[in-house]
Amino acid sequence: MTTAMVAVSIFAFNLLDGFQAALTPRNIGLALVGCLLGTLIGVLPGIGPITGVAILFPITLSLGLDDAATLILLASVYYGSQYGGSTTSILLNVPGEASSVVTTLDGYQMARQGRAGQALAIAAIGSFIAGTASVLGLMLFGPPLSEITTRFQSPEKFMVVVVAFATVSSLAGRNLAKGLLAVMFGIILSTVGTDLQTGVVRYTFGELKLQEGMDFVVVAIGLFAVSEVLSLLEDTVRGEQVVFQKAERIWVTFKEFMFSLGAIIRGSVIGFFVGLLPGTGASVAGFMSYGLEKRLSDTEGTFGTGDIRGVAAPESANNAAAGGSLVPLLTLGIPGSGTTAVLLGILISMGIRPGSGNVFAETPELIWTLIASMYIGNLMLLLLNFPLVKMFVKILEIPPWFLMPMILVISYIGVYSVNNSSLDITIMTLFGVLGFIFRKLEVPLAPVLMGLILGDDLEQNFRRSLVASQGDYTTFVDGWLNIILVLMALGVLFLPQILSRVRGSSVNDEFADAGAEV
Amino acid sequence: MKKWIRALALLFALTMVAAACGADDAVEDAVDEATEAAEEVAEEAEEAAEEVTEEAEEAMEEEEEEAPAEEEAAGYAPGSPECVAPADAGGGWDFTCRSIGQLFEDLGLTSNVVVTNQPGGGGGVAFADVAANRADNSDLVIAASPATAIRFAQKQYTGLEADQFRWIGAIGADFGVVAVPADSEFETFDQLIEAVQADPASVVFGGGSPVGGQDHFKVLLLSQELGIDPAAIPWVAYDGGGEAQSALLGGEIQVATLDVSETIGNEDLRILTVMAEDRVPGMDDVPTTTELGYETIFPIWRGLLAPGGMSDEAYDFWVDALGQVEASPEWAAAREENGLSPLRLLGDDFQGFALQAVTDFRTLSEPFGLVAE
Repeated sequence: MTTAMVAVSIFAFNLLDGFQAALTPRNIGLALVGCLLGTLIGVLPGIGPITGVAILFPITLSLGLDDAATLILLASVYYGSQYGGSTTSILLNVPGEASSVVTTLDGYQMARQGRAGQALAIAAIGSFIAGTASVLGLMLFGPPLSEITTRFQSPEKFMVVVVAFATVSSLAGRNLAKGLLAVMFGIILSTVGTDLQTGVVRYTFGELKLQEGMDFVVVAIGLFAVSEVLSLLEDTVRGEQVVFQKAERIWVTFKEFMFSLGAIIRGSVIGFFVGLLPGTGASVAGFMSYGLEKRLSDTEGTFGTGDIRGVAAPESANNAAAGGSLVPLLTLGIPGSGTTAVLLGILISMGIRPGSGNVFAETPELIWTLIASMYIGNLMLLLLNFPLVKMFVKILEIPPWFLMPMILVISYIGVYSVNNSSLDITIMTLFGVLGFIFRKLEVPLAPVLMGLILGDDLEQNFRRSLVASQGDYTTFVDGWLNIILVLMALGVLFLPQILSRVRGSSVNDEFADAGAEV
Repeated sequence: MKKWIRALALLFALTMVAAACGADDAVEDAVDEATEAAEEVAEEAEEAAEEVTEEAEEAMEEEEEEAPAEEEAAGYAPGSPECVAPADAGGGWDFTCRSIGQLFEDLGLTSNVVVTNQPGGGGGVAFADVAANRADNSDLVIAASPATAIRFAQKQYTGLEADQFRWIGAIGADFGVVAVPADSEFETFDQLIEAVQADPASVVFGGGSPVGGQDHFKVLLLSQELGIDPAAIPWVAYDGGGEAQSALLGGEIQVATLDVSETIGNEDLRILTVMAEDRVPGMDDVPTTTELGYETIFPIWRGLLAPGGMSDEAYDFWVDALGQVEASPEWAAAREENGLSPLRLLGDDFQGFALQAVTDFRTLSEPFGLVAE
């Protein structure tokens, strides 16, 4: 107990040192530039946080900045671009990266109802709170948590993905069967490309480009943005007025904040712990927190129609997952996501080798500077939000006859510029048409992306488990961790029924039925 | 009305920047300009927009009419040198192009080297493009590594063979390692080999590449030398070395085949052997496979190759230039920073080495059905 307290006070002291190193006027200026730059990068379709940081890193080196300044600039760019991606999800229904897919569900509905400002604000506030929570988690539990990371092996990761898929009905909308079909379609898409376990190339039709799999961004922009424009076009041709209601307020009220606080806290906790798992964490966090939040709190069936908690939960979870993924990086030297892989490169170039013993003890200055930098980036983004939200909401004042074609143009240029590939353009267009047809058939689009994003984790972890256990299927229920996960999956499936029993109140009937059908 | 026009102008400017980034890889210029733009956004969105657009266009033009370098005595000097990294920014091939390209310029060997990222198909998109459209371009080099040789061996670059390109040279290499957890029962490489020879299925191996990829070949080459059926050794493929390490520490696999740069200084791991001839800096206490009496080595060399139609003068120029880079202290520093060991394989030596490697990889891939038709 006392040692723990001593440890805490040492950590707190070190973090203060980190802030001291980080908080100079120049660094704050860098944080400002980084956040702005990151947000603008993130708004562009196709360029997410990873690319943003990877491109900027060599440039910051050539600027000759010291380590603290470099970290602050890059952390700010990272947070900025993640926020930029959420911005397009909310305003334009264009998820810029895997983690912001679920944000489109309620965020875009809010934007159409003139509540884009609140959605953007709660995304920033939720991210900030989650960021704070995950810094705390990292400080208090970082080294011990690394144990957990290595306990989660392929069978456990497989079960985590199963738990995430168990929440699919929360994305499915009214008709669960269509939702499941959509998920299956997404999983089929995820099998395109080189199969890791055999080295065999699948379903590429001789296209070299497809060997690395379907590009998430290309599919997402096609399915969401292009089909959105097509269906708005249809509405216009039919003479139905397409209007975004004008925003009244651009910031959340205290009441709205308190309403979302539970979702933010739950999202932070889920995100942090899921973020600990290398490889699986970041993409699962958003889906899982949204699914669980819907199952826990959606007593009135408002999720999917512009519920502010439907934005708060996944946005908090994404940010907390970013913090969680620092644990395996700093303690074991294991980069769990594309972004932490880039970060690992940055740390190595600064002479820190995470994984070599306890970096917290051996090179504390830079680690705490890193954590302080991430925190400053987070805070700066929150502050920047006041002016930025105002500016972004203005985008919706652009008349639809001009805005929609512009979205198309920007999407096409953005997607083309990522790989210079005309095949991407073709695939995006095909998925745009497909998305339009899906909308007509009332097949939900988000489960397709869920299948595409998580399908590979599902399949590869399943097969890895079996290769490693040499064909023994009991590996999936071997050990308490697996059994807990199996129970969790079942719990998630039947949570609405359980809750309605406990509360004795009527849960949305359709929804309860949907759960039972699984 | 005015306000949305401003917002549009901004969006348009950003789009142009993005297009410039991707299309011409004027990344640095474009991002610098984006920085300026970001600072001015608040008050002068429109002005910034025009400026950025113009500058991005200028940047494109400039690259096209690059000033020719000083004439070399050899009779050939590249006009507008370009290095194609057949992958996204941030990876190994990208590093090769950027660091070597920078040194070509810094050492006064060429003018500014433009780095083009052309990802897709494990490099196949770039090689197909070069072979089809720029096969006789003498100003062009392409970054390569053993992964390139493996893909040529498995005919994954549809219709292309390794000898359709000119292999310039390799300078610097990472090396393969065989790693176990620090508390593993295997204390030496020989103990591990004994266990595998006794029962190949008893030890589960893994690594950060697909079956038939770089990390798997480390196991395949060793099993070939030892006369063990490679298919009998269980091998789990992970998505990158990080995941493989996590699986190793968690006990899902008993042995991981990784690289020196991925494992150097990691005290949770025990490195049984480095797959090299000589000991590598930073792992001075780890015996190499050569020392242990095995023939198999696995250098992950960093090199350049060129289009097949490059003239002999140009080829000699690039071989010489790469040799000068290799000998420079600047390269030694860049190499060390990235965990690479010294290696100098130039011109015909490299061509012979690489083509032999392709032949070997092909022989080993065939039993796995990995050589495309």
